[in-house]
Amino acid sequence: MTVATETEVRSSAEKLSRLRGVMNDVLFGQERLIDDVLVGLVAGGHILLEGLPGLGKTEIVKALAKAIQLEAKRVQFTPDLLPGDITGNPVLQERDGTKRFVFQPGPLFGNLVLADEINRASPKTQSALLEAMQERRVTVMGEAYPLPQPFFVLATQNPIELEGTYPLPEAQLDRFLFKLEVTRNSVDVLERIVLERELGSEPSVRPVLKSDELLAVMEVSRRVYLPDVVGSYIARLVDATHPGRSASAAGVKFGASPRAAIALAAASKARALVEGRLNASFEDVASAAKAVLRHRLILDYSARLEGHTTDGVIDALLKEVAADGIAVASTLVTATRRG
Amino acid sequence: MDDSTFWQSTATRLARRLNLGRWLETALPVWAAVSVVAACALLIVRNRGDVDPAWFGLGVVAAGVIGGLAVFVFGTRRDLASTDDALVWLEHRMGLNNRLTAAAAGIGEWPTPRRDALELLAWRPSRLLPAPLFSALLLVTAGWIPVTVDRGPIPPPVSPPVAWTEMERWLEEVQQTELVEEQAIEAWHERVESLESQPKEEWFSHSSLEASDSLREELASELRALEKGLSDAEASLSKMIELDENASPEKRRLSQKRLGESLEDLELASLPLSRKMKRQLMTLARERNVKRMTKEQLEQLRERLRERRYANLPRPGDDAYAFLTPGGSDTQGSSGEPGRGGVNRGPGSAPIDLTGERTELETTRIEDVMGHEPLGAEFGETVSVGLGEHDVDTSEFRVGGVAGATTARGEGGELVWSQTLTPEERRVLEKYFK
Repeated sequence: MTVATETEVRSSAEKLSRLRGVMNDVLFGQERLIDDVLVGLVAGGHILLEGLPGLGKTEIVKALAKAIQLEAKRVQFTPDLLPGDITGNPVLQERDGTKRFVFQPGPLFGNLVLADEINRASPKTQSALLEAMQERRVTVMGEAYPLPQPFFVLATQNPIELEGTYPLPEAQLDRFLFKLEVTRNSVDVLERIVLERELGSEPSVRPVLKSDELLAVMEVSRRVYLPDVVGSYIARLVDATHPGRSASAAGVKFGASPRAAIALAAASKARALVEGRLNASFEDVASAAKAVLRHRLILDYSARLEGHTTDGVIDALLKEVAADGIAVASTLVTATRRG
Repeated sequence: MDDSTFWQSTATRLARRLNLGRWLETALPVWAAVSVVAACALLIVRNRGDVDPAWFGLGVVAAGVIGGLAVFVFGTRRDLASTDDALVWLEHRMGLNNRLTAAAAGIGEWPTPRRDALELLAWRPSRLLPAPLFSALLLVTAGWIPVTVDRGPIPPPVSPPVAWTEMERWLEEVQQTELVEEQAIEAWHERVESLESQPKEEWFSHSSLEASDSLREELASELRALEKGLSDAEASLSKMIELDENASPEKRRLSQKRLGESLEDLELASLPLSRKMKRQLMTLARERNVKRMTKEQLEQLRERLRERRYANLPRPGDDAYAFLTPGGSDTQGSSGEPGRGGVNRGPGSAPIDLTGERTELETTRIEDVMGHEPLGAEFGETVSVGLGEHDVDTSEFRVGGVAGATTARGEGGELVWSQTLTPEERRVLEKYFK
């Protein structure tokens, strides 16, 4: 696989920059969230958005669908939602005097699927989503139906109102590239929202990217150069998430999987492309680490009792694991000059 | 210099610094440990007194070099940072998003050179200096502090203690006079030789010196007793010689009796008279008629008895005598004022000063009183017991010979004290008897 050229990278970065601009016009004060969503999108991963109601989770998905001119589908997950309701069902049809089952595609057959409040669906329905997310196809009555490309699942879940919900199993969580936390806005942002938005009316979104272009950008992202030292850093970082492999992972029950390492590499390359760089870097890894690892680390009971969070563990890991792998002797003093 | 060369050379220099810093981090404690061992070794060799500073310094340097090499081979070498490693470290510290690594791999352009790249890594004096300073201080201290040089075992003495040679000399003198029994002298020789037969290392031990002094004192005492006995015998013999033919038998018998008593005293001593001399004197003491010996023979016998005085024998008034006498045994030393006490006290007890001037000894201790002559030493002291008359030489009387001489012969014991005592002693006696 050839490494992405400077021209390809620059072109992709420009497109993504336009997309970012449009998204920022729709969703105020969520620049970091939008960047992460774009990175996840370019990396070809699914994203789990977690946040309180009304913070713009659904809005960002809708805006993204409009800006990229993707076919967006929305499924409101409820406890009584059946797998067939999202994958589609075979329907008996009579045509030319003969009756036969014709597969009627469900809402999963779209480019951008918004699985709203995914944790409210039953495990049975959640598992139906599993194959679609991983294999990017749906199997109904023994017949597999490929999903359209690109295919993204942007799921949301509410951290409160946990009564009557079904927490996503670890296997399904691992299918999500990112888990992003949507935080509330500052007063300034709120003021802008109040002044520029009206209840019931949706903001107009200018399409800036076609799905083919997005696929091309995703392909360039896969060819972004990942230096060996960055790959080594990702491997050391993921390895350090396991208990006993680092001091920071003392409260971790289960560490991140190799899939997490692959996801981190893909996210790093996508971030480099979003920023218009030819190569992924330590900084890209550190920037994507929380979004990639936070839903993949399972803390043990005592750690949770002590108030530890996965974000805290990841912060500690980033400090503990030296990116450059070089331990500077105590006889030397180092300075950091960013520029 | 193009961008690539700049970054590569900078990374090379940083790699060297990183490696040197890592090596020093491990080597400095090793050097500190080496310096501790070297300081101990320095103290030991200084104590032995056979240290050659040049060789010792070379040894310390060699040990330091070997320690440093060992640290490098077994520790630092495995983790040496390469130029590529330094490049990664540099780009990470400078926030270059791994552009240097990518550029080195042919991806993208080299970043614009930054002159502050080398300033990212500086030496930390607070970690570098303590160990060398500690080592230097330790070595300097070990080389500076006073150390007693161990000269090894004390070599055996070349010459024996003085007391032995003195005793040998005395015995030699006694032997030469042929007045004393040869076997008795041999017995004393054997006693001295028993001391000499000790290992040479023991000659000057405390016990040996004490035994030597004790033996020396004993021999001196015996010699003084011998001398006194011979003196008494000589006096008796002189009296017998002076008796003229008209002397009464009573006087002769008395002289013979005195001679006999003197001989008895000599017989009891551990240095008895020689058989020949004893026989001659016993004959004189027992014969009824002394005339059997001519006057010349008697004079010759008396002359032999007069050889009794031994030149090197400690006598009252000598330092050695004071050291040997019981009263002076606690007054050692050779300088300082007599009887003062203390470390620098003088030898012997404070002498009695008969001039009437007070001695300011500032002490309440009871002092021994010793005169310079045995006969005038202490009042009431029994110097000797004997029968006889004062030895008065009537033939040599003359009037007004010298200043201070007596103008009258006096009677009885008057002449004795007036002619033999010092003027101060005489004044004291006169005052006492008034």
